[in-house]
Amino acid sequence: MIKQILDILRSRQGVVSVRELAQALQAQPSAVEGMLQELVRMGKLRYESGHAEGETCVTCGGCEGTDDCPLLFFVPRRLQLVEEPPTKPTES
Amino acid sequence: MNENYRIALAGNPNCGKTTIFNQLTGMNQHVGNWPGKTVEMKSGVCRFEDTTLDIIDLPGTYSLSAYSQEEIIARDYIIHEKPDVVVCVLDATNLERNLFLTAQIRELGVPVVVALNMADLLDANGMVIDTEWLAKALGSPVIYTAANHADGLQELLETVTETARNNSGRPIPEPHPHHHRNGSQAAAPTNGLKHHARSHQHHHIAWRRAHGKGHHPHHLNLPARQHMLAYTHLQDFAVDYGREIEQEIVALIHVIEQFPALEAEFPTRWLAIKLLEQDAEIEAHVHEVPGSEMIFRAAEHSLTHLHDIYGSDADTMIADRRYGWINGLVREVVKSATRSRLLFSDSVDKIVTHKVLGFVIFFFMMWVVFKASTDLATPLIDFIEGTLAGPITQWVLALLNALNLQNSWVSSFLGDGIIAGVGGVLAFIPVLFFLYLTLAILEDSGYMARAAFLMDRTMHSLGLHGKSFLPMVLGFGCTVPALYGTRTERNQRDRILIGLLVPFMSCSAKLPVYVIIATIFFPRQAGLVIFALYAMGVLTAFLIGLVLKKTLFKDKEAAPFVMELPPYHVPTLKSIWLHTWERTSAFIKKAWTVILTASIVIWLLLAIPVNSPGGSFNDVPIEESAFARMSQLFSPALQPTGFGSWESAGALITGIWGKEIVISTYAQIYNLAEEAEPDDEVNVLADLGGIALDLGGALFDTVKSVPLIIGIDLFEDDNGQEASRLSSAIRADFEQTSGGHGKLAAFSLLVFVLYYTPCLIALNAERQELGWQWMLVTAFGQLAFAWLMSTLIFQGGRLLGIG
Repeated sequence: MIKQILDILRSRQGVVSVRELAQALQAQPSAVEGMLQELVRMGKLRYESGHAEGETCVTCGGCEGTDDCPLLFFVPRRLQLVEEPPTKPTES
Repeated sequence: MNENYRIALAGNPNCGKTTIFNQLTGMNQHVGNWPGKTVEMKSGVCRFEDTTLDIIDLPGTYSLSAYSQEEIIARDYIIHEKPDVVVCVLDATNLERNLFLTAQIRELGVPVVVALNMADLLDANGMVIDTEWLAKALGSPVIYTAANHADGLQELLETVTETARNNSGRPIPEPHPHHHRNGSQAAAPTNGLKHHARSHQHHHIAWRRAHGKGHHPHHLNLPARQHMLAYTHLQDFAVDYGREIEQEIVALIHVIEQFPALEAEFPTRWLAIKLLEQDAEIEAHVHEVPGSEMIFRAAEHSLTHLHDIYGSDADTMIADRRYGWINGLVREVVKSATRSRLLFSDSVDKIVTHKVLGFVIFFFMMWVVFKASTDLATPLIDFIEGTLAGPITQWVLALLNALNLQNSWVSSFLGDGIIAGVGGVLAFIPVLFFLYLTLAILEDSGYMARAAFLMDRTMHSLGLHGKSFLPMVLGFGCTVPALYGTRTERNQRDRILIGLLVPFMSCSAKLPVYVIIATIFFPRQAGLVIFALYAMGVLTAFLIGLVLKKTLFKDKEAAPFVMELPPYHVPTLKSIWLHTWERTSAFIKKAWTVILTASIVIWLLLAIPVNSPGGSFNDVPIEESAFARMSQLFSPALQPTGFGSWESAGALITGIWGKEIVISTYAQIYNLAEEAEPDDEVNVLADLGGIALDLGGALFDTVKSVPLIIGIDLFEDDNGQEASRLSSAIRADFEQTSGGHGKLAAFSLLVFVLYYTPCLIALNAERQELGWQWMLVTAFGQLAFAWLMSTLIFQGGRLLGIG
């Protein structure tokens, strides 16, 4: 199932919704969310925020940083495929 | 016989685990921290019949993969503390996700009782679970619970106690009469717990159904589902990882078995799996064992072998097989009416994210947003302008008269600098309020997420990076954070490309210019005009991006991604209000200093005479002021665009400071040109009464405008309002400079505002993010593009006889 998600992402070369993945896998969407979390933990996917972390917007200084900027519109969370997953060190 | 058992509650977050813990332990709780951790530890005692159960509430986790503190705590407790029973609490309505943790706990070989919680929601979800089969598959008893109603907890305690007794090897007492749930002798439940009184037979205690009435509790030690993996001859619970992986597991088990310390501490199969998953915690632990190099060599060999076979890491394949096993199990045990039926959310998504229909809906939604913003805001803008130009100006003039400062520079400064500047800020409030209100409704309902998904997909399908839409969406709010947003793009070329496209999005500061000009020249079609401007910006960015991507920025495809679309829901009034208020106030906070400062500077430039025979400070014909002289240098270049007056040139120059200043500059220029005359008598109370009446009228007109958004005019007597002085002056100016094609020139100006050089703060952000070179490309490139487009529109329109 997890491998299927990675295969779908690689073959689609674009954005896929959780609903579409759930339909393709014939799984519950909540289960697909769990699989995606597992892929994040495994380093195969990573969350992509809408803005640079730790950057403070210079326009008004009315907030603590871009995360809190009320002028930003909501954009759904996105999980990007990590093209070359980091190789975990193996003890030898 | 007084018995004492240790019970651990494990489960996903939000599965109702803590509710069960609270129901079972009542007031007998202790809250502290896990040793050496900041994670909260809750333990408590439950007395059930003659048994004392020490219950520990493990942290909620989705897995035991040891990626987080919570996961490590839960895993370490089960492995090292060896509770008598682990109760796996599952959200019955999300069985597939919740089973992942259960499968991992079962792999640890500990006695498990499964509590299918939230069972009361199964009917509503159209789900039926074959608990008999589930119990067999997991090799553990399965109990239905609905912890929030204390249902099923009695059965849970019975089963937990029996399982603990059975696994402790202690003698098993005869079952208590109330164990027979259909019998008439059911004893009063302890701890105030209720029997799970569901009518459906399949909701009865699963294990009992699985093994038939009259089975002795000895059978709680049920054999796991007879996996009988042909290649390993395994008979206990096991997920089948497939021949190749299983062979490597067996090979590793043989090596591990040579280390008694490890064998005593960990279940050997589980340890072998963890080594194949390259679990860092476990690797560190094994590393401390003398001679463990042998284990790592074997693991390395297995990993290489598996990678050669699958072309994927072993951890991916193991997780894949585990999920596959769960998926297969769920298909067998869950009979769901909704499984084959699209949920409401899915049905709506099919339409709103459709490649064609989705766009029609998106553009319709945006049209409604802009129409609502203009139609609803217009009466309030008129009210604000009228109040400032009327009573408030009169009060200031009366005050100045009293102080004998009439016709002084102070009078001019207050009237033309401060009041005009403040008016410029206040006039934005209604527009932005209604814009953010309508967007908040779309956002909170979940629609905006679909719009982002739709755009992302379309851009990607045309060779552009789908993710470039993200900063562009942010650009509708403000260009500056959108430019910073490009930092998430790791590819420098793509980052530059997106950075160049972002300023084409119409930021919030451009909207008031659109609204005021569109309302003056296209009062009936203002919403449509504004919508067209937004669409033009997106389309232009899209086309320029496409061209650049195929030429200067040709690169490999972007990495694909998954987007989480939140479920649809009815927005709450509180949430909409908070979104609307936060955004409107943030914009005003950002804009007021810029506008007020600009207003003062412009007033100063308007007061300074240049080449003005007989002129002096604050006593100069406006055409001979420093501001006018400077603007007159640029106005000839704007002649082909149809708005070649020095007033427009001046307003556009100040607009580089901030787009919101364009309108306040017009206001200052025309305010100077037509001085207000003070009334002989000022009656503040009467004025206040008048203001209140006007506000009431404006609010009533706003309400009247609601049906107009969708084209229904319930009040057909509305024959338009008296044009304000600013409107009349701007209209006259455009009619004059365009040779009678005022509307065409106005649209040309709007297009110019859409495209021309971004504000100074945005340019500075672009310099920081992309460098001087690209900042200059944006500053002059967009200026040239704006001039070209405006000229084409005005001259083309004139040739075609439009406007």
